Amino acid sequence: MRIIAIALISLLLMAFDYRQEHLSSVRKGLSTLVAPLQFLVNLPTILLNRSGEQLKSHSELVAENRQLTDENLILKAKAQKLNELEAQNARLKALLGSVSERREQRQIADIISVRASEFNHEVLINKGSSNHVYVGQSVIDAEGIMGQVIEVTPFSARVLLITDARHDIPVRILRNDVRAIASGTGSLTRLLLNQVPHSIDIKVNDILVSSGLAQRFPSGFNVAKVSVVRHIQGDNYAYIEAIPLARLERSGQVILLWPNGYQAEDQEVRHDKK
Amino acid sequence: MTRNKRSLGFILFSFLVGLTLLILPLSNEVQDYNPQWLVLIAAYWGIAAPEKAGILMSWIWGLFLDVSIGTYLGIHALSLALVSYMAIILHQRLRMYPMWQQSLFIWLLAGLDKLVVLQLNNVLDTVEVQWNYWYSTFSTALLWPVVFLLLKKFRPN
Repeated sequence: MRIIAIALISLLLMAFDYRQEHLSSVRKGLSTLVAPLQFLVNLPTILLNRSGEQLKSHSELVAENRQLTDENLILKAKAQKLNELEAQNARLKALLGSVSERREQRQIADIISVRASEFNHEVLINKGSSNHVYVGQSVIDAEGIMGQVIEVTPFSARVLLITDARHDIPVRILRNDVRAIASGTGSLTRLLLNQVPHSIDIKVNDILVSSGLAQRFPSGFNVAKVSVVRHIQGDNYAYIEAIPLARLERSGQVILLWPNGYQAEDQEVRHDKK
Repeated sequence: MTRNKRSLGFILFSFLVGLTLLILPLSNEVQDYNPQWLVLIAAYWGIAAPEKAGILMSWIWGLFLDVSIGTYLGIHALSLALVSYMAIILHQRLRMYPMWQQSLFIWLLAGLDKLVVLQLNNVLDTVEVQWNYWYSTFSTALLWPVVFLLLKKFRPN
């Protein structure tokens, strides 16, 4: 008898959770309870990485430092150019009477867990609502867009990767601004472009960037590179595969983006902007 | 009274260890073989102490599993409650079985757990799985004697 009651409650929970009604607070509470456990199980990995840093030889560190300094110099030089271009872009946009887009605020977070069920592509990061992380926020790494935040607890957040089968992201081809939607497939190395007509100009190795439509992701960030273009006789649409550019399979650091008009004015975020 | 409390504490502790082992970060290849620890533990308490650790206990730990790995709330809870239920209604018969037959039964329970999780997920989102989805049922069954003996040795009477 009791099993029937429990089954019914479970089914109700699932249905509500699926439709994301009423339950987010229950979920949040339970997540906060298991958060310490998640930190605990990932501690060995973190410690191993740390001790790896400690054990590096002096010469290795010097070499790494030199390489980073070089890289930094090059990036700074590029940034100079970028500042000028941004200012120019803003002027031109002002002339055209459209809204200028300034740069987003960003903050670095660590991936603390990559453990998810077999069906989901999700990672856990170590910034939460105490750092003003919010649901729907974009997460990128150095190479491109990784995904978006779907669940926030005070000190951690869950990120849905763009390759998850439940995820779609609006993109455009960098070369010619053609729009499309890239859907996750459940494989870490594959995105599918939906409903692209045969007539559209798209080639292998085209870069796809976020289009900013739907206003979830900021526009202009790298998403994927086209890997397969196939025109199958009789199909209404072309079959197009793309490889995500972000390193989704690696754990490490990610970057959280805040749109520049974001309301919660707090010191930390502003500080990191510099 | 204190004995009851101690055994309840041990039951809770065993479930906590099970959950911890289940959410350990492992590489994808090893992950396939990580046994369904909570199935083992729910089954053990169902067989060994059905009056103390009922289906409600398994259900609650299933909820914790759901939030830690981010599945829809209630999926693993329901599958673990079912595992617990099967173990409880058959516990008298199972106690008579030799170890290898118990293992075989645990293999079926592990399969049931995976099947329920897969089908419930499939109702909400369409999912596809390869054969490697089922590998962990075998490691679960193989590990049953070890878990059984360990828990039997350390549980307070």
